[in-house]
Amino acid sequence: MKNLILLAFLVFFSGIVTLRAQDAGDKLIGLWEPSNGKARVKIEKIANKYYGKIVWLREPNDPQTGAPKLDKNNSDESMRSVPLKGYRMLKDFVYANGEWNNGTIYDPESGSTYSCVIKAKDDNTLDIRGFVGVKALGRTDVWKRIQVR
Amino acid sequence: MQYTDSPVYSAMKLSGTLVPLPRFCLLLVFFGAVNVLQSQTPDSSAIQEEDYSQYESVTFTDVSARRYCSPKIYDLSPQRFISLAWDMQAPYSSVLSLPGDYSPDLKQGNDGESATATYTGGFRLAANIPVVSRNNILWQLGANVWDTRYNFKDLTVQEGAVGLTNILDARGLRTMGLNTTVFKPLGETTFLLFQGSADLSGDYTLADFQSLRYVRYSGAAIWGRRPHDRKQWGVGISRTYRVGEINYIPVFLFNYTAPNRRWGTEILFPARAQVRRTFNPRNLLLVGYELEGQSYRIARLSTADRSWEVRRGELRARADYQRQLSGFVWLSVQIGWRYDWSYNVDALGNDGREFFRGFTGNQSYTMLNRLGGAPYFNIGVHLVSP
Amino acid sequence: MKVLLSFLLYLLCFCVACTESQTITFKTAPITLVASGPLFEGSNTAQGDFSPNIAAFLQQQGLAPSSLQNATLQKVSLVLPDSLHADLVSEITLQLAADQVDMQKVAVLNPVPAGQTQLTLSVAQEQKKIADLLQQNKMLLVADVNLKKDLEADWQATAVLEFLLTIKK
Repeated sequence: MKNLILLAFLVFFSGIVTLRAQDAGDKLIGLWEPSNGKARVKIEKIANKYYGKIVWLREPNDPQTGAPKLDKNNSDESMRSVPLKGYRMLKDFVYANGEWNNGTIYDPESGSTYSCVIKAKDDNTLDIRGFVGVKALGRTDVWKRIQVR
Repeated sequence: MQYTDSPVYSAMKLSGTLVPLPRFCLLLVFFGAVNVLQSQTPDSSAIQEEDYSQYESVTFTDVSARRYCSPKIYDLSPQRFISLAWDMQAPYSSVLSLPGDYSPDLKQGNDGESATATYTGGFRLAANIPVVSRNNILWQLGANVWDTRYNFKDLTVQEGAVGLTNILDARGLRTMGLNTTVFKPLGETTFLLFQGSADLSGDYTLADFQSLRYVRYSGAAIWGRRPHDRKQWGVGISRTYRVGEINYIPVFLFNYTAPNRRWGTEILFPARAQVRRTFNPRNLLLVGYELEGQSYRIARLSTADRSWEVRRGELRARADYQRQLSGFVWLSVQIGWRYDWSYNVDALGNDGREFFRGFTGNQSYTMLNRLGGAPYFNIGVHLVSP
Repeated sequence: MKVLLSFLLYLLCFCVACTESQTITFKTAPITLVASGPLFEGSNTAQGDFSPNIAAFLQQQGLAPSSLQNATLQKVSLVLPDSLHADLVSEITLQLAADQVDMQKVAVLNPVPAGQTQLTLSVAQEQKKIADLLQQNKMLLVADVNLKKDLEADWQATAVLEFLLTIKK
């Protein structure tokens, strides 16, 4: 009986430890604003990875056409009709060792996709570093958590 | 009871024997507790959707958070991390004066050497790495190495000439420098921009290196505004060697992109002013000019008490086509006209101390030289920044 | 000289024959995509998953699983349950993902034609890692569905994907 209780506790606590790690990764989930304030991005989890979707644009319509902005700078011409509102600009982030990595960030302004690593400075601040090849060749943007009033 | 390959079964196998029902129930309670906790984490298979209209009206969770303006505007030509270019000028005439005391008001000195430069060019390597890249400050460090080689023909030398043509032909000129840029946003629309650089220029080689006493410092400080994503302007003051010799001049920054996103300007007057035509974000043309210059110490002419420096300043009117080659690798091709602003020589004290002539100073030149204008060509490959 | 040239020609033919490939079409069974309601106007996420079982499919065709050289998505057909579902949607973007493979945007339809329940999406010209995705145990379909107005219930659709497989002979 002692063994069984011990085992049960082990299972219970290992479950909690796994859960804690998962929890730590899940603090990325939520609504965030990049430093330029031009967009708001909702980060969600699909399967075991994190994805960020543009949910709001300061300038939602293309000034030239008056229609909702599209991904017109995509290098793939066939994908230029994808609307920017709802666009997944952060993709495939995996949480490990206190940061979210292996992901990419898409810049709709240039149509370029960069490697990206995300670190949480605190619960409400993210360092989002887009880089080219090595992390040293990159630029960090600080995103702030926002909440609906 | 049929056991499948479930975690429950595995756990029971670990205990060594099959577990009686009450104990099994105890385990279930524990697993149940874990499952209850797990159910509190966001469900990955069914995303909880929210009303998008809510996102219009939000606040920062951290009330002390502020928004800052970006250092960029839409469609600016890409910033370069690493850049390798080759620059070449077409043949031009070179007339160098005899040494003497030439008032800055004079148009030309007494001719000492004349020749045709058949080749002027070399490689230019530059790197620019962000050290701190945050919303409230951006700090970059850079380094550059420029090599300029000369070949002359049809050289005619008058008596008393110093032989600068032959020195240039034999040794060429080079510049090595470090530079830094700090962009400090003060809020959502205002910013400060500081640039500084330290350059060592002369006819030195790595084996015959020049004393760091002759490092020349230049810099600029700009206060600016970025009223929206397509415009950025600023005013400031600079200490510059862009016309060859030190000068303190006001600077005016004006980066603009038209609402149709096809046209724009990239101006840091008087250093450069360009009109931009954006074909698409991976393909653009800049037309305008750039001032380029440095003060080059000529070791072979310098003596124990005099440091001879060529005040080289060029105005380059040009068309600069830039396009993405692949991913973050870009190509640039410049074609233009190189107009000689200054190729005069000053003999400074050998402690390397500069003097300020500016637009009104009357300090005389030691050589008053004239270079003919020439078409030039520059091709470069660049690793650009996100 | 003639002998050498003939030898080189034979060698070339041999190399071409060795690298010769064939293409076959692989069509998935209908995959159900669901966005759980209540849903709001704007972009919503519908998901579905399926097991490609590409190795089994290749074996059925008398081909070795390792013979898969390349794959491209050729066609995406979407069937909506009724015109109400169709009228609600302004655009659809479809992505494929798996645990070990990054998410790939593969098709889009903008705008969604009014009232049509059978839709064919425009497939991306630039496609990456499709063969890798097909070789996973489970592939995830993620559709970003832009709704014109709120929907209390779930939003559903059925997708059929058609892949062109390049097989090494």
